Amino acid sequence: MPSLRLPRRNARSAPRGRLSWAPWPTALLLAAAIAVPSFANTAWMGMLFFVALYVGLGLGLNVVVGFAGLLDLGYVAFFATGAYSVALLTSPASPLDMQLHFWAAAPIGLLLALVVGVLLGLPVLPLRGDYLAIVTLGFGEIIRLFLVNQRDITNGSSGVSAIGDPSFFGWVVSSNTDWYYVAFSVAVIVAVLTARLRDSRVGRAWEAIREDEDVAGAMGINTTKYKLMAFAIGALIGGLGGVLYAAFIGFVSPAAFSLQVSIDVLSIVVIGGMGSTWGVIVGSFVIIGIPRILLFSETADFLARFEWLRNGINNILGGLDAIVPAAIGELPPAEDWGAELGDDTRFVIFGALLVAIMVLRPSGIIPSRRRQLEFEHPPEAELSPVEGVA
Amino acid sequence: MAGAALEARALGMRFAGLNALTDVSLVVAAGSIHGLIGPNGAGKTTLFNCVTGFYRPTSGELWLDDHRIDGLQQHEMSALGISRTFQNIRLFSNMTALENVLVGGHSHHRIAGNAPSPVRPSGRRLVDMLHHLPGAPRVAATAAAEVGAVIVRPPRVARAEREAIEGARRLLGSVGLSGRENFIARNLPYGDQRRLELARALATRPRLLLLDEPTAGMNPQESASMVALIRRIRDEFATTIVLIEHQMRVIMGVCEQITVLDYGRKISEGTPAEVQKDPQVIEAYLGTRAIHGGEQRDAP
Repeated sequence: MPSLRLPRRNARSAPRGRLSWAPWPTALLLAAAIAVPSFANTAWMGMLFFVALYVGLGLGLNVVVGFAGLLDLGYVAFFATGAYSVALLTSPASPLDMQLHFWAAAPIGLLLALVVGVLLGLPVLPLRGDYLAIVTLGFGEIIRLFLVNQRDITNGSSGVSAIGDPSFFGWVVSSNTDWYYVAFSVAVIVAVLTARLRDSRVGRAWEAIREDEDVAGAMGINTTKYKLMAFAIGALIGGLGGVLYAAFIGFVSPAAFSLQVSIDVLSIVVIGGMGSTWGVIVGSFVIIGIPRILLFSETADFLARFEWLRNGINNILGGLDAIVPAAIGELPPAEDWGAELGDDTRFVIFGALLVAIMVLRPSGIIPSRRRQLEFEHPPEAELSPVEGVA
Repeated sequence: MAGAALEARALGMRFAGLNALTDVSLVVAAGSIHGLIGPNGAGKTTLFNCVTGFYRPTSGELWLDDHRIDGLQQHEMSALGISRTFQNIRLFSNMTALENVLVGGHSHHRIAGNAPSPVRPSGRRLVDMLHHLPGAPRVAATAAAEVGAVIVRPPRVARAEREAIEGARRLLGSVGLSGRENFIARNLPYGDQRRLELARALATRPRLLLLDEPTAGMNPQESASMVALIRRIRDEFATTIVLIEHQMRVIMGVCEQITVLDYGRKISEGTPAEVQKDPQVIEAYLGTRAIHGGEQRDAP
């Protein structure tokens, strides 16, 4: 018997207006996130910076893809806009040679990302369906090619280096731990803001558009305006991520803004669970954290303990070689497994992981309530009133 | 505020090679319940789609009171007070009943993003002044103001949201769905889904309500209660109602005027009694050997 009611905790009397969040997991995560720098070394903090950065990016794209249901395959464009704004405006090595202060450049970067988002969205968003996916996919590439080719403005493929560390009321953000705290704070702020948007009439309008755009229009929602709002907010957050990234790395080049970034961020949203904040956090650990963890020396040390497994497998492979004419080869040393996975093999493993997650949990690892409904309970046939539901 | 009058002047809707509507003129009196009937494919729903902005008519004019409305966008039509339900129910099926109605009330929540209420003197708050900006800057400024308002959530906005929820609950109550607020729409029984669609349409505060086969798939008992509901809505919500219907009992029972369409043309209009006797209507429904060469058309 399909349940007619939502699960108890979701049967809120006021469906909007209060943040729907889980207090205990949130408190635990916050405590762990604040405490972790006392246990971790610099390399780990760098990894965690990227995880936090991509949580922010994922939450931004989540507004576009998860809330409003618009497929954006060129999110890297806004990321690059933010990053290059900071690089070109602040760095002494920039061809523009303006050497603005970071705090002057950052708002310009955000504004530019927003403007780029609106200008890209304006012609496309009134259209329906997959046009947006194609246009954004192309636009992401156009931005990258622009960065490569416009040498007079962007230094071309050699990139812009010597981006200084910003200071914050006298506190210079320089170590990986400092940056981790900055990215983490930004991710928390973005999480709160996007959750408030979701739980408002704006979020409701996005949901209605995602469900049935025609009807949403007939109910008085200016669909183009709301789609553009989602797109612009996503672009703004993407730009914010870019600003952080450029200032952290200190060097930007077009190679860092490939399609892979868009795919990573989209994977975070889809694997984690579209529309879900927790999903994005988990997704970011899976997509961004794991490949980096595999490269750490601790991982190699740990894997070195499995030398016996490697020997065993190599013996079997050697035995097979005697039977099969073609040589199968041997497994690399166990301590290198992580590094091997960190490179090309990673894509194979990842592909398998993606397929597994999508088969086992089609709505993501931690789906939003509504997406779960959409994916896992196909529309019911007509139901007669059930006793005890009134 | 009484309902609005709708007038179509020589309306035509042409899809590549098919004339879905040809030269249809009709007047729906303010505050009336007007029936729209005709065999399948006569153009009834096409007419609805023109009036609600789903289609842009290819010729002719549409007027709502003193506003020419043909070619407006859907949300502009809605802002003028036109709302509708759908032949095959189109709820936001993964949202709750309450949320569906709240979406209907979207334009009436007193939050920064909306045009200032006509009841309240405008231009006094900063956010109201934004609405006097021209075109694109206005849209941008009001969108930013709205995002800011729902994120910061000052007491005024929180109150507006509470009022909206209260209003939505009342509407659900008035169509007989109280107690079902938190049901996911698609899990509601069929009859309740029709009622929910009606509540959602009412939440837009329509002055012209277009109902596309509101009793389709209902048994006689359910139909009768829907008819009673429609009458009550016209009186309580002071709206004009146009009704597409195949069940003659419903049409004859509730409509004051009827327009009959066939092959995209208006073939008859008048009171239910007049229309019933019109030979052209009888012919359209039953077909005659003399004119259609023995072709039998679907009777309702």
